[in-house]
Amino acid sequence: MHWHHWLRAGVRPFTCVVAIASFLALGAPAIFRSAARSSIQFAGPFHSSDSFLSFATGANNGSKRLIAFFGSLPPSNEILIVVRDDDQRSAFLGMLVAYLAWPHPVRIVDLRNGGTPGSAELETIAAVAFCRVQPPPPWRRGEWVGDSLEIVPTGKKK
Amino acid sequence: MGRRFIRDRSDWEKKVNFLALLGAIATILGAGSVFLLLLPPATRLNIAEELALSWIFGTGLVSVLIWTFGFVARAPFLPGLVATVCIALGLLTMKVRGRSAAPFQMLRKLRPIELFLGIVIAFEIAFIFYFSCVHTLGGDGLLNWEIKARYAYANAGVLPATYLHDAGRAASHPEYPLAIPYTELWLYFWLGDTNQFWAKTIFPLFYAAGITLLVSISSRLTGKTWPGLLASSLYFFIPQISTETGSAVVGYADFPLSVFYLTAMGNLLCACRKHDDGCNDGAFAIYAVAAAMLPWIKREGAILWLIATLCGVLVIWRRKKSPAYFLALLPGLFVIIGWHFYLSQMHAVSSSDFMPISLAALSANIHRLGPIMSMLFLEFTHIEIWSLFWPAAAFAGGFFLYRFRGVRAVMLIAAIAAPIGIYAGAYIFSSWPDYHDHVALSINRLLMHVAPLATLMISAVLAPGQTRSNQPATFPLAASGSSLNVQPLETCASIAGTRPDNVWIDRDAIRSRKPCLKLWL
Repeated sequence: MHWHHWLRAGVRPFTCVVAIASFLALGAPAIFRSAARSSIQFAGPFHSSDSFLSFATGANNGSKRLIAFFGSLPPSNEILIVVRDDDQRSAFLGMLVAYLAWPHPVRIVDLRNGGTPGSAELETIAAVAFCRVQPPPPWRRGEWVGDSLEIVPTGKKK
Repeated sequence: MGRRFIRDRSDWEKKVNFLALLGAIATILGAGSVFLLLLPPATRLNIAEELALSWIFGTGLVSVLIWTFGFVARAPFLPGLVATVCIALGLLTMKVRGRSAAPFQMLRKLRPIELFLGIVIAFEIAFIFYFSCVHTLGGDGLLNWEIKARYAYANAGVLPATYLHDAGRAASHPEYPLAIPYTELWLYFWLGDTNQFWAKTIFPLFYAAGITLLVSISSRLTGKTWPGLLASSLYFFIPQISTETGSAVVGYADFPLSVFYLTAMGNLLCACRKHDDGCNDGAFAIYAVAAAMLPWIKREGAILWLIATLCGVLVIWRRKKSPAYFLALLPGLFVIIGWHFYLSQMHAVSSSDFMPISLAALSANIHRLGPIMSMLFLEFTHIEIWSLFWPAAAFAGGFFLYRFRGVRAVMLIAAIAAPIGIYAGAYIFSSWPDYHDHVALSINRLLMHVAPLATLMISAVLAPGQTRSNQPATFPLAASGSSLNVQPLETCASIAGTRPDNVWIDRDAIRSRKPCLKLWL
């Protein structure tokens, strides 16, 4: 066999080995870093929403608390969720509150658009959730979940 | 004492949850196995492939059953009804396939390199299960998909109409189809409660099924097992698949959708083979079922269904199959029409991610095309999350076209490139305030839809030797009267160093009294 046949026969496996080694060198560290970062925790039925609430507000076991709180309000009345869409964490927290507020109808209001509830609307609203947003000064203090979610009931209880 | 009691109770609950989970998975497998009855007796699948197909088809069927029975029944009758149907279908499959001569094949004896790669893949699947336990559901996994399972569970197994037209929850995409949420709902029925931790279990199972199907389709296409095993073992090392946002473990529908698309297109490529050893019809049946379920997994599944259907039409036409085969393309259309009819009847709100498609909108936003293509290119070269996958796929695509000239090569390249092109084009009509954000947030997940198919192409290129578009090797056989003097095909394959799938007796040659054995080496 001539030297160029040997060369041709060797190029293909050599190229494959180099490609595979590069592929692994670039991808594997990120994956093993991810594997080493955490350990298995059987965190229960609110594994994900608790983790998100903890990230967004610092509160632990927030899901059960929020569900219990919304459960004490008339189910047909709306929950108004006030967010700032230019703050990603606020918008995400708003969606998380909407997720947990079932079966209440929800309305998400972006504060930047100047959306605030009128006095007539307050009749149909069970509570207002302020997600990383300061409530207006005249509003009375509500239920705090962590340090950045405040829920102010409008007064009606089940 | 009290603490010990609480710990014991917690351990007991975990055991019960685990058993319930096994029950849910077993019923899904039972229901999905019924589709194996569509396969002709000549179709040879190994047990791993049968389980993988049963899983993916089972998730589709169980979710459809819950949705349709939900019009007439509510929990607790609804899950009981669905479970009865699942068990009945599983028993039916066992009975019918038990009668056939070859119900299934066990895994054949593996060569050392195949055994090594198989063990690597087994470890990777175990890692995916581990990742799924460690990670939470992703944002969309919780707020777009699991939300539907949770609300349906709270409403006795039926998605509440109030949710479908709740404008406040439009961001959770009430219009998305229900395969993934209702598979999670099926787990909730068995667990007796909603549980975000256990809901994640289904996604590693999709990974295991996807890898199994990737290996088996690759080995059927190339005639060798190791290229599929090698490519599949490397697939795990793409961070976007294993650990990143939208990966296989965080509860998004993109990975399951990619598995269905791989199953559909991979089997269509098998059905397109020139020689028909009796397996082509089986592959076409698997293609038809997987393609029909695409629009039921995710909204983008309708686009993938359209591409798969066009490819199916091409195969029927090129291989001169009976026009009856066109009927196999209809179920997907029924799924699309049925779901949209349901949404319109329920007055479901829809998120406004895209503006209505029109020439005016196109001309007003065509300037976006350049930046979109630029972002797409950046995504292809984003090695932190894709490693060298897309450069490797591009290289493999060129080599594949050069080596496997013909309809199959064009079809595979089109099945990968067309969805990417359509997705990129759709961003022209994005109604987000900044369409760059829209592209940046979703393009990585959309590329996942075609990633397994691109891996299949890479595995085909890795396989050395003759291409399938060339002529197979032919060996004349001695014949005495009507009987052929030939060893069993498995023995011939073993002697020739190839798989039994690659060996067949030329029936036309038998009719012309010149029997011969053909095989792909």
